[in-house]
Parts: sequence; structure tokens; C-alpha cells
Amino acid sequence: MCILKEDGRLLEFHFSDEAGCLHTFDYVRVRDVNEAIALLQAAPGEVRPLAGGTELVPALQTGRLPVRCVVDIKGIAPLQELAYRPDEGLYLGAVVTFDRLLAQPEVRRLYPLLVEAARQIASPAVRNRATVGGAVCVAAAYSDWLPALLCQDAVGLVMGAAERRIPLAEFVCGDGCTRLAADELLVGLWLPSPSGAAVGSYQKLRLGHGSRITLVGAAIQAHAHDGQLQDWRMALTAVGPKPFRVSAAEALLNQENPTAAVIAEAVLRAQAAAAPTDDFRAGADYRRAMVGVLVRRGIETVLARVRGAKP
Amino acid sequence: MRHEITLHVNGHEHRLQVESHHTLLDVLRRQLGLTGTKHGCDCGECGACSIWLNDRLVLSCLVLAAEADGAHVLTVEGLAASGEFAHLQEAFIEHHGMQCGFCTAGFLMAAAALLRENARPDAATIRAALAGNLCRCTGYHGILRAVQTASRMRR
Ligand SMILES: Cc1cc2nc3c(=O)[nH]c(=O)nc-3n(C[C@H](O)[C@H](O)[C@H](O)COP(=O)(O)OP(=O)(O)OC[C@H]3O[C@@H](n4cnc5c(N)ncnc54)[C@H](O)[C@@H]3O)c2cc1C
Ligand code: FES
Ligand code: FES
Repeated sequence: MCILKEDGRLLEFHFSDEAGCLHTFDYVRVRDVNEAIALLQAAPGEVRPLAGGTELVPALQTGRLPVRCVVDIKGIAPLQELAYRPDEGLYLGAVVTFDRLLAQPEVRRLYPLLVEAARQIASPAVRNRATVGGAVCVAAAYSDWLPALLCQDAVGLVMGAAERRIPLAEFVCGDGCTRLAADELLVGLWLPSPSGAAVGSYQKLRLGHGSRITLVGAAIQAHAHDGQLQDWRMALTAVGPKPFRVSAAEALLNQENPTAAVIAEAVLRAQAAAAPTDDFRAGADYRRAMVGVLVRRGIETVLARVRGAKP
Repeated sequence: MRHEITLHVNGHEHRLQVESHHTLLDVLRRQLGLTGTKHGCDCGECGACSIWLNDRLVLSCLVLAAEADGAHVLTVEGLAASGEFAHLQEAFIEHHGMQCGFCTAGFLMAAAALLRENARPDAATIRAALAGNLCRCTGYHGILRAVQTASRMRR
């Protein structure tokens, strides 16, 4: 049971233990960031933020998590914010759902890669609940969301004992691993304005529509200036312990016109950067071959979109 | 930890006592006896538990009952009673959109959510909208045809 004072500081805190039932836990809803942090600090690790619950609720049902209290953060106003300012970029509050993101006119106009990736995440019912911050905190090696964010140079805004800004590339440190301490909250994501008219494509290979596990994903983005493409960005997912940018391929595409030979070399560089593993869903060799197919398709789609075609 | 919550389910208000770990699915089925909503995988993979929460399609196995305090819920029982999607139900019957029927409530809720937003979806849009619902019997063709037919019957 927790009791919060008017100013959000903690007055009383103890778990309402119930007969040692494995998957019993407390549920508390808060309206203020400081209330949430006070609760997380009261028992780090045992108190967990609850956003859309699409990962956390089923995990709690197994009774295998050491969680004894969940703090519902969906009602915290600054975490719900979704705003674009031309001079600053896009601010995505941590509890913005994918569905809301996809309905935002500026996001649809200026961040086509985000839109194409988000549309391919799960199913409508999941996208109505799953949050953009939750997906970052889950930090899945096969995430479709992280490669799209990496291509925007997104920065995570974190609050706990102090405020921190962590570039996304550092925020995620491995499959299911982040730099977030157990008593910290991801408040939002900040995405700088694109350096030109962004053109993007997200290529995803999966076992079936709606399947949550992506076998390989490739995010490609470039920026058009007077018909010229500059500032290429490429990120891969599910072919390493975490999604990552492929700077060797980006450098090549930034230096040379994307002729067939240059695209072929970019594909080789992406394949060289990939470190896929074997599992029951796909072998490493197959995954590496598919990196080639998806990267090529992604680059060609971007080029076709710049020419005005929309395959 | 016990919570007293209010739920507006299919137009009726209920005051309920729930535990923190109860899902909305648990409460609909066990406390309210609304067994049309099915309990499948319990982890978001199958879509059998699909309902509308405050007018949005959600999976009730992924929502804690305490989270839904004050919310409006529509289950397949309410959908049927309203008659608003009777043509969709008819189309499921006509096109053999079900065999065992375990998945049907979920498909109806997802298809109705689609048709509400997009009265004339094409085949690819229907497939994408139903991607989160699994059926182990029909092979999906009857379901897709049913939704297509329903979209033509209306407007
Ligand atoms: C059926 C299904 C299909 C899916 N398919 C895909 C897919 O195709 N592609 C893909 O990329 N992903 C997929 N996912 C994963 C999905 O994107 C994530 O489950 C979702 O985004 C997590 O967000 P949430 O708000 O539901 O998080 P929650 O479940 O609420 O939380 C997840 C974890 O993050 C922590 N957390 C959440 N928010 C914060 C915060 N602001 N600060 C600190 N900690 C926080 C929680 O404590 C918890 O540990 C799928 C999931 C499901 C259930
Ligand atoms: S029971 Fe909820 S999705 Fe399967
Ligand atoms: S009819 Fe049996 S699962 Fe769909």
C-alpha cells in the first residue's frame, strides 16, 4: 500500500502481501512524474512502471518477475505529449501509443520511416495500447521500432534522482538491456528535425502477418535537397544483440551516386556488419542473405519514392 | 491489493471488487459471466479476447481490470444486442466464417472496428486489420469473404 502526500512525496509505503500468492502485486495509478519516481525509489526493481502493458501484463501473469507493485504511468500529462516544433524537432512522450503516433499529421508528413515501421508493428489491437516508450524499454533485439528511431538520432529523456539525456544508440545496451536504472523513468523521446525532406523505407521479414518476432528488418532513410539525396541512414534489426546503424554503408551512399555497383557494395557492407545467430526460426546464413535482399529493396524503394513512383 | 472499480459494460454500469492481478478478461468472464469473449493465449498473440475499451479495439488479456476503472467496454454480447453489425454476423454465417467458433467473437470485434473506420476496405486492408486474430479451423478465406461481403452490404 502506498500513500502519497499532496506534493507527490511518499508518506507511507509497504506492500500489501497476500498469502504469498506468486503473481499477486499491487497496482497504483499516478498523475505526476515525481510520484512515479518516489514509488520506484521505494523498492527499485520490485516496483515497475506500467505503460501499455503489452509486455508487462503477460509477464506478470507468469509470476516469474520479482515485481510486487506496478505504477500506471499512462495518466502523467507530460508523458502523453506529442508535439512537433520546426526548430526543435519531434517530442514523443513515453506513453504515446503507436496508434496515436500514426494518426499525427506532422509525423506522417515528416517522418515516413517512423510511420512505415510503426505500421508493421503487431496488430491494430496491440498498437492501440503499446507505447513508443515501452517498446524502447523492452529493447528487443528484433524490435521494428528501434531501427527507425536510430535513423532519426533519437535521444531518450530520463528522470530519476537526476535528469539525463541518453542517445538511443547508448540507451539500449543489448537484447532486453537498457541503461535505465530500476528507479528511473523514460519520460519521452526527442527526435531532431530531419535534415531535409526525409524519404524512408522499412523492410521487414517475418514468419506471418501479426507475428511479433521479426526475422530481419532494415530501415533506410535519406534526405532530399533539390532532387539530390544526402545524409543516408541505415539500421538493421534482429541480426545482432541489438539494432544498430551501419555507418560503413551510410558513408558509401553519402559519397557516391547510388548506381547499381554502389548499391551492391552497400549491400555487402550491411551484410558484413550483421552478426546473425541461428535459432529455430531461421539460420544465420539465411538471415545474412536476407539482410542483402532487404537492404537492396530498401534503397531501391527510397530511390523510387524520390522519383515520385510509390511502389 | 483490492480495488473497487466501475465498469460500463455493454451499456450497463457495474461496481466491482477486483484484485490488482485480475485482467479485464478475467473480470468479464468470471465476474460478469460474459463468456463470449474467449480466453486463449493470455499474451496478446491470438486475438480471441478482443473487445472495445473506450471505443478502441484492445486485447482484454493485456489490460488489468484496475486500469479500466471508469471505462466503457463493448463485448461481442453488446455488439450483437446493438444490432449495428448484424449484417457482419449474417455474413459470417453465409460464408462459413467459423467452424468451432472459438475465434469468432474476436474476429467480429476486430472486423467491426475496421468497418467503423473504413466502410469499404480492400482485401489487403482487411488482412492487415485481422492480422492479430488467429483461427485454427477455417483457413481464413471464409472470414475474409464475410468481412468483404459485410462491407458491400452497408452503405
Ligand atoms: C502480440 C504482440 C505482437 C508484437 N509485435 C511486435 C512487432 O511486430 N514488432 C515489434 O517491434 N514489437 C512487437 N511487439 C512488442 C511491442 O512493441 C511492445 O510490447 C510494446 O511496445 C511495449 O510497450 P508497452 O507500453 O506495452 O510496455 P509495457 O508492457 O507497459 O512495459 C514493458 C516494460 O518496459 C517498462 N517500461 C514501460 N514504459 C516505461 C517508461 N516510460 N519508463 C521506464 N520503464 C518503462 C515496464 O516496466 C516493463 O518492464 C509485440 C507485442 C505483442 C504483445
Ligand atoms: S487471449 Fe488475449 S490475445 Fe490471446
Ligand atoms: S473457427 Fe475454430 S478457431 Fe476459428
